[in-house]
Amino acid sequence: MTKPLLEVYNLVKHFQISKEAAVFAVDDVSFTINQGETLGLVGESGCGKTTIGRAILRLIPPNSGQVVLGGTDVLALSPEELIQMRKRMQIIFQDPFSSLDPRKNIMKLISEPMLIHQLGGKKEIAEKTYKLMDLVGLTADLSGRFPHELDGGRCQRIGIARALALKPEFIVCDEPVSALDVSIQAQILNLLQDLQQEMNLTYLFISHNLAVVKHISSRIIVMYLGKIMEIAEKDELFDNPLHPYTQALLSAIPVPTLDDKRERIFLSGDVPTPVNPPPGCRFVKRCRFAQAECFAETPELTDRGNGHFVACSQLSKGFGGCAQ
Amino acid sequence: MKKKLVKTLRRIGLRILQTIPLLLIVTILTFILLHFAPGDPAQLMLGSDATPEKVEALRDELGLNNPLHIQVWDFLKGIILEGDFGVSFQSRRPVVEDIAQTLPVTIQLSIIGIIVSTIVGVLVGIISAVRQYSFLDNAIRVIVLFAVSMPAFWLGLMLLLVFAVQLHLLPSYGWGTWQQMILPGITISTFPLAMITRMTRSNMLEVIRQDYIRTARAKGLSANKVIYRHALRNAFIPVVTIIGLQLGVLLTGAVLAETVFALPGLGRLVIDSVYARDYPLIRAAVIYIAFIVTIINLIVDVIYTLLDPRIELH
Amino acid sequence: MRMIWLRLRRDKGALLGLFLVTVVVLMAIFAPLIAPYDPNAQNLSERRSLPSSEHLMGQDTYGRDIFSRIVYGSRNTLMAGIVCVLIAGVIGSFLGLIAGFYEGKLGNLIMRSMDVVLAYPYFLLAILIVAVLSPGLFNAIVAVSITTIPSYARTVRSNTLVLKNSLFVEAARALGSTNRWIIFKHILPNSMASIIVLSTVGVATAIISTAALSYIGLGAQPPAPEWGLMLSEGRSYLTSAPHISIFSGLSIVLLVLGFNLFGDGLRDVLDPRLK
Repeated sequence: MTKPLLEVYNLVKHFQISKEAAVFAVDDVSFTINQGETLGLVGESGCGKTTIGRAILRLIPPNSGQVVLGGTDVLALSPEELIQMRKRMQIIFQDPFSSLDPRKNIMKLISEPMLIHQLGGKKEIAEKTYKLMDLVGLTADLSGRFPHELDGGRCQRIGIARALALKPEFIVCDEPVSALDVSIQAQILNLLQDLQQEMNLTYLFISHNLAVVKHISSRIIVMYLGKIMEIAEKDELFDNPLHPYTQALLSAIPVPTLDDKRERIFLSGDVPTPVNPPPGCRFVKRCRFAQAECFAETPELTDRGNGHFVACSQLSKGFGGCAQ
Repeated sequence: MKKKLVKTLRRIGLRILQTIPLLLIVTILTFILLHFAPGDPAQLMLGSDATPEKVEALRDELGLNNPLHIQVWDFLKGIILEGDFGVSFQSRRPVVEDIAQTLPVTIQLSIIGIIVSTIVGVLVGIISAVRQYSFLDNAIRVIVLFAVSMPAFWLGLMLLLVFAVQLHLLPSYGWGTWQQMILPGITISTFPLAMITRMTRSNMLEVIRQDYIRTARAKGLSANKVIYRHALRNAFIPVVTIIGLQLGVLLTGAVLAETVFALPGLGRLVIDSVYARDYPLIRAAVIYIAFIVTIINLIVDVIYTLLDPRIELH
Repeated sequence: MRMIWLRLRRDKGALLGLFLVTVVVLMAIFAPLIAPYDPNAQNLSERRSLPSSEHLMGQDTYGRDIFSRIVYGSRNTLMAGIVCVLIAGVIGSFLGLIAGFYEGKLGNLIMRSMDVVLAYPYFLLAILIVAVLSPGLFNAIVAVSITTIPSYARTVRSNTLVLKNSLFVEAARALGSTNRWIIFKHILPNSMASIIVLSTVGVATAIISTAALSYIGLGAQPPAPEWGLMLSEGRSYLTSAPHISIFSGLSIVLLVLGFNLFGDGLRDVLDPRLK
């Protein structure tokens, strides 16, 4: 249970947009995910969370770093080995429609992964496809339909079925419910959780929605502009957020009851661009506790006990004026 | 603004530079293609009753026994240094002379084609767009459809039949008087005219749809005037490119019209040369025409780059 | 795909076009049953006779029944148009897929070659190729095919450039597909709309071009019953026996009209933006 399935070390991915400017979408990120757990990854748009998911799967080639899945170095594989490796790691996309070929019906879409890897004859694959459809909650009579004929929820179920077809160990869920109606979101989330239990899956669950992440994750990473700000177990994070950014995020979660008003922490300053970041903490321009050294040095993740890591120089110094 | 001008000039310069290797390849390719055509040029020149020794001697003289790349090189040298494209088998004169004799006719015919098809095409296209869904528009669209489906050679023949043969209104062959230009002119203009009408119509429709909504919201009075002025300006830019696109069609029409009406033009010369296996002539004519077309396309591209509204915004 | 047919049915022009094309196709298939006479049977005592009850379209300059020659000629004409489009379509699309997907030096080489082909006015290039290969219907078809390849290559290439960056292609890659799988199972099918539109119009153009080559004597050779050739055979007798040219030309017009109408309708259904 506590064996790490996925290990990411010092992952860097930057995009060169011109001779002088580069966007550091993922800037020296390291973490591990244990077998069977769901690691949530939250942050604003542009913090690099989507890029991380694709970089880990090598859909985007990282610039440097290491990705180890079940003991195998993913980044060192040859193209042929990589194709085989893909059977073990899959992805569910945010946009349920665009991720499906509009000219293929459900049967063809779900059988595609099995056809690619030649996992059986036509009949066998068709049977497996029907089983998968049943597993994700699609009725068999839908097999001849096309994506444009279906709603977002059903299309996302197709996406999930495709990801499961090869019986992977690890799945990157890239904002899988962000594009869906709220009522459908719950269905899909429950489906993902059920599947995780049944098939012993490990998830990296990426989202900008803290409430969703809280529901499904066991541990959570908070990212900002390409760097990790805080890592903690779910309950620990929500009860005891240490990083100023995490505190601001949590204060923004809408509360359903009328009297339990939360004190809203507003972030000042503009959202900086992740282009050619200056030295120092990434959050410095919007942090209400920023001191001189925050501009100079990039803080490292320090262990605060209980698997709770925070990257904030003020905290490490133990000064007042933060969190506590 | 100066930066944009420099950028544009650089783009144009690059374009011109790209054309030169293209022309070179066209010339070499044409030579090589015809090299593999059936028939021995020397034999063809001397006739079927010439002795083998004479043929062989002529082959040596013409350099036909040299390896291919030497022949290509000599050919290129001849063109660039002396403008010498070779001698025609049929007329025994330098091919440039034969071409020079027939080129004016074809050029005149093509110009008629361009002018008529562009002016009439744009006008009809505009009318059709402005009066969309009217009887006139629908009639125009039907006529255009027929025009696009008619082979130029059939159209020419039918025109000939009706006007020259049956009605004796117009001459059926020859070139020189304006009467002789009418039927071939119509023949060559019809297809490009139809295409230009179509394109103008669809461009105008796009513009009208945009402007009409805007101006309708503003002042309904001068809506028409604004449409005409603004839409016309927008419709003119594509027209320039349309002309470039229709060149190939125009040339086809020219060749066929010359055949139907027995005009002493370059197109007919080419066809006769193919029959007579007069390869130097075919070679030179094709290269000439390809050159002219490529250069006109280049000019059209340059004009289009200059007309690009992005640059007009000072 | 059924949806396309349903929408197409509403377009009267397209239906008319389909009707015309079908008539000619049936004529070609059942030629031996429809044609009353042998298209090559000469009857020198009845040269250039006008249409009559025995010869619906009259007889040509060798006394052959024009109607039968038109019926059999449909085979040549249809075959020419369809084969041209098939050859150009397959080769051109393939080149476009490769150039668009792999880009780089190979892509550049392919597109520059297309530029060279396009530098020649297409009819002149066709004449040139026939001059090299020597006149004949088959060579004419080859020549016209070659001049048609660039339009397929360009269109498919631009489609490929867009499609290869789409999300479902990335999704296929995530499943472990090879480049070949992506090209032929995802990019090509999603390009089919453009290819089909190009092809219906392409058949029309190919028919006119091959007929034109036959008209100037570089295509089908006598005594083949080919509509363009028949037109030129009737040229000399325009005054005395115009029916020879009229009927053959009219057939071309109707067939091309059919393809154009159907092609326009198909284009409106598949991609209304192109209107």
